[in-house]
Amino acid sequence: MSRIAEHPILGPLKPSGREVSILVDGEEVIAYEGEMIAAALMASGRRVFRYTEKRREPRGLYCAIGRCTDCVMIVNGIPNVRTCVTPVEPGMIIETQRGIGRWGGGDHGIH
Amino acid sequence: MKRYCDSLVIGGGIIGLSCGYYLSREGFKVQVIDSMEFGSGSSGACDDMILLQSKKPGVVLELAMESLEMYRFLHMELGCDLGFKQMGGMILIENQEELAVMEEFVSSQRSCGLNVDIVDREELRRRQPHVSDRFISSTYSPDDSQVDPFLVMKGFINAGQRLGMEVRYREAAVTAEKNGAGRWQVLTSTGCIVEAENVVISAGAWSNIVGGLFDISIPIFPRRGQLLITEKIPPIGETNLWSASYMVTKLRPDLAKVRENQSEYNELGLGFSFTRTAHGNYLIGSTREEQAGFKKLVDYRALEALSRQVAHIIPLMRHVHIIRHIAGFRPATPDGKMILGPWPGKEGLYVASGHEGDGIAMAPITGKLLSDIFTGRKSITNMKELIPRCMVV
Amino acid sequence: MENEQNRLICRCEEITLEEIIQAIDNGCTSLNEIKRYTRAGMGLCQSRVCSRLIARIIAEKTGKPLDEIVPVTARPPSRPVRIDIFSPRGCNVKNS
Repeated sequence: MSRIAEHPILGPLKPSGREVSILVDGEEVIAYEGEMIAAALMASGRRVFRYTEKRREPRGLYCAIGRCTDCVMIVNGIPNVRTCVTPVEPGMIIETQRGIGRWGGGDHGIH
Repeated sequence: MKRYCDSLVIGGGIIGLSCGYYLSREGFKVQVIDSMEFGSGSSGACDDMILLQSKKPGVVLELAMESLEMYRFLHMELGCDLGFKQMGGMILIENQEELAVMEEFVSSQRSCGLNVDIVDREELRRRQPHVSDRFISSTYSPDDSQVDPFLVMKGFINAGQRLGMEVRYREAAVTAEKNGAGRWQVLTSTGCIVEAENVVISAGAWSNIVGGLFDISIPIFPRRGQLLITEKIPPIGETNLWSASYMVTKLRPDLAKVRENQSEYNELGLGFSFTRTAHGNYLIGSTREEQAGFKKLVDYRALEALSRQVAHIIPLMRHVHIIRHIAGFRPATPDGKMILGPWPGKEGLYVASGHEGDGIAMAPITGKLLSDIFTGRKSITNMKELIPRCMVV
Repeated sequence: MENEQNRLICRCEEITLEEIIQAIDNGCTSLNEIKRYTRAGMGLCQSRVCSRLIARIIAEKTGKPLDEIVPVTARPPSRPVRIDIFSPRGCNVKNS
């Protein structure tokens, strides 16, 4: 995990939530509850969150404030979730999105 | 400066461009002018449907079916992709009363040759697994189709230009009069005089304003429709969707159910349409407002009503984001039929407008019929009902 | 990136510099027209990221001063908003 523990301006940073486990493309990732999904993925060394629809190019974190499209992933069976503004919840199932993605997938029942 | 042409088309939306293209194809020298920008009027603020199922049997349904046949091959003729897709359509039925009305309606459409049927709950579930199970059955037509209006307009412009058609945006007609030789002299906002044998008014909801320059009163008025646009999402079910309650309100007003928020429904003219664009965004509609004039505003009440409606019918849509809320003006006529043909008593003046919500669907057939009128070719359909008529607005 | 022309201008809809220039060559002179012509700016971010770039391309191609280029028409909601925010679960009928 690579996280900033000591920030030059903000000082020491302590994760506020408890440690929880989420599933990213089938792999377990330890994250902090309430942090943004994108933060947990970056900390776990992941940089590619999705592949674009037309050119099939990899994309990851770009604006990081919920304004652009780039960090969207399939979260609990719902595509296009902006991971930079969506907090981690325990047991979340997160998948790399290809193009416009798909509904459901795995065995999560969407409704 | 002065320009000369055979036909001046006023209005560069999908109808004007279609008229321009089909007239150019017959060898007429055509100029199209539009006071606004490419796609800034109703053609760019509408759904994208070639919807046959909503049409009552008669000339409108016949023409819509013919227009669909033209669309199937139009991309080859224009030489570009038009985003044509045939996803089919279903009109959702909630109760026995609606079912009875829709059964009668569907059988009258079938006798006109429309490929449409009523399907049972199981087939509805199979084709539309995300639709709320309140619905007991549905209509289904495999023929309902759609195009990308912007691509169609671009296609008409490019193919028309290859035939010599000229298109100018940001040029408005200011005055119009006839010269000694009986040719129209139209002064435009760029200071140009366009001399033309014939003028076609295809200014959609704005047609009556243009009509004023020619001292005629065209019974076309704007009806505002508000729509929501979603982000691109994976398909929801196999087809596009509408609800029967709106159709029933129109076909059998006595059966219209009384809702808690009836006055809101009436004022907004709320109906349900749910269509997937060629690019994967969904268009969620729609309102049908009489009193808005030309105010291109959207309001929160409609945003809330449209959101509530779609979440009620397709619960999965609660998770989907709205990226844009738009309004467009449907060119409405008192009798609900478009106006197409020569204006009585005004030689060389034609009107092709008043399609209300069917401008995209009817674009090819409108241009084709107008060119048939110009060349004197006998048209295959009964035109009498469409020729400009005096109507009390 | 293979070349300059292939450079992405609109990230959401993946519209390239070449497509923007083509639209201008075909007579588009405003941000709204280029949007309708190419889809640049029709994506999830609703042109927040690309409209300044496109304004600059218009200025460079047409000589129109940047401060005379009208911004794209903004429509609500100004950010993507989930439908259930407007329609809370279980509140399908408004009682007002």
